[in-house]
Amino acid sequence: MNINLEYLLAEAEESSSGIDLLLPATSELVAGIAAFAIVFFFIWKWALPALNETLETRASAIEGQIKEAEETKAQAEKSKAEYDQLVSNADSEVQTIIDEGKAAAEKLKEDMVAKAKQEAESIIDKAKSDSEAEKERVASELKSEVADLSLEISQKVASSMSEDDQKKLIDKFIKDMG
Amino acid sequence: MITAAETCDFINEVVCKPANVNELFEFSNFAGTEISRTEILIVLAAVIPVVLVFFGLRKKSVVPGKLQSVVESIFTFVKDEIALGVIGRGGEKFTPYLISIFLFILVGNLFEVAPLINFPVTSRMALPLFLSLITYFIFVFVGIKEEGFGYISHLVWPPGVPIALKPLVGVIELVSVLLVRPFSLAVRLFANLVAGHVMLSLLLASAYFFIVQPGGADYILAKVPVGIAWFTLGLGIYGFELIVSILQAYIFTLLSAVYIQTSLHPEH
Repeated sequence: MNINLEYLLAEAEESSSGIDLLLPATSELVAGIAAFAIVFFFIWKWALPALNETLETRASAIEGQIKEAEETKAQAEKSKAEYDQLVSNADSEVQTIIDEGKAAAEKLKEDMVAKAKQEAESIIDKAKSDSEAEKERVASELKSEVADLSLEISQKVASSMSEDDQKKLIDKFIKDMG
Repeated sequence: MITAAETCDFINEVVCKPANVNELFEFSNFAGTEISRTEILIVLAAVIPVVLVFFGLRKKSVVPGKLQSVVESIFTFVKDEIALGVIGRGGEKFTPYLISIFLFILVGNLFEVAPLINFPVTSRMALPLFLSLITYFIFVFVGIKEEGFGYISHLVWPPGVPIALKPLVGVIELVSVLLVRPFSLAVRLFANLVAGHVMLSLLLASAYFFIVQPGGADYILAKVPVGIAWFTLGLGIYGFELIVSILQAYIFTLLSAVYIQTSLHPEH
């Protein structure tokens, strides 16, 4: 298959050069002007003002929300401070109550201890006095017994001793007893 | 192009008769009217952004939905990054124009990759030329308004240049600013979209040609894989063209802002 160069050149010459593509067609130019005018006037007169309005509304809404958020935050901080104050007061009240309780308990304890000591001392004193009295009573009884016994012995001895010996013996006995 | 491929006798001809390249860009008028598909698409490139923006912004919700977020993002991007970011002080009054050309060109470009349309209206010279001429008139008007006759005299006799070079630099500046700028702006957009459209058409038409028109059982094993390869490459270029469409809309808008800025703030 040979390529016929002359045939191809002739075909190329016959075909369009494509220069028409570089020249604007009047009808397309008119359509382009009309179409672009539609776009331009729509954007200029409606779209951009609408966009600006939307953006302004959004900006003011955002500003309002930020302001509201700041107010809410301030309110929350205030509430928190009040709450902290309440908690702080409650803590001090609790501490006071605890201190008072401790003090009362301590006082009660001291009173009870003092009372117990007092009772113990009174019991001891009473026991001592009872003991002393018992001791005195026993001593007295003993002395009486001893006296009776001495008298009885002395009577028995006296019956067998002279009067002087009896007297000496009695004195000596009494002296030893003392 | 597919029609041309279907009529091609590729068995007996080494090179098929090339289709007229204009067929890729020119469509016959609708029956009984003077309106072509291209003109309908141009109007559609205006109606689609208008409708989307309308439905995106009509509720003016404080908490935006998805469409509203997209529209707001595009608007604020063009306003903040291009109008105010590039032009600077005084740039806000050009925001409607910059948003308009960005949306119009973007939708016109995206027609290239839109299913069932697959034709970027910006690949027709009328649109890029018209839009670049608007930018041209704006920046020349702004320059004359800001500096008066000084705008032209500064171009012809640029300050801060050695006097021996002033005539040469002046001619270069004059031609560059007043003649090359509008055409380069138009041709950049036009050429990118034409190239993309031609490339996509060639790749996908070739895929169709190799896969659907195998020319008999003997050729199936040889041609179908080639067709699949073309189709795969075409899909890759499809994604690439999607990026190009967005990028070219951005570049056109950005350069328009740069040109306006040079007129509005010549001291920079």
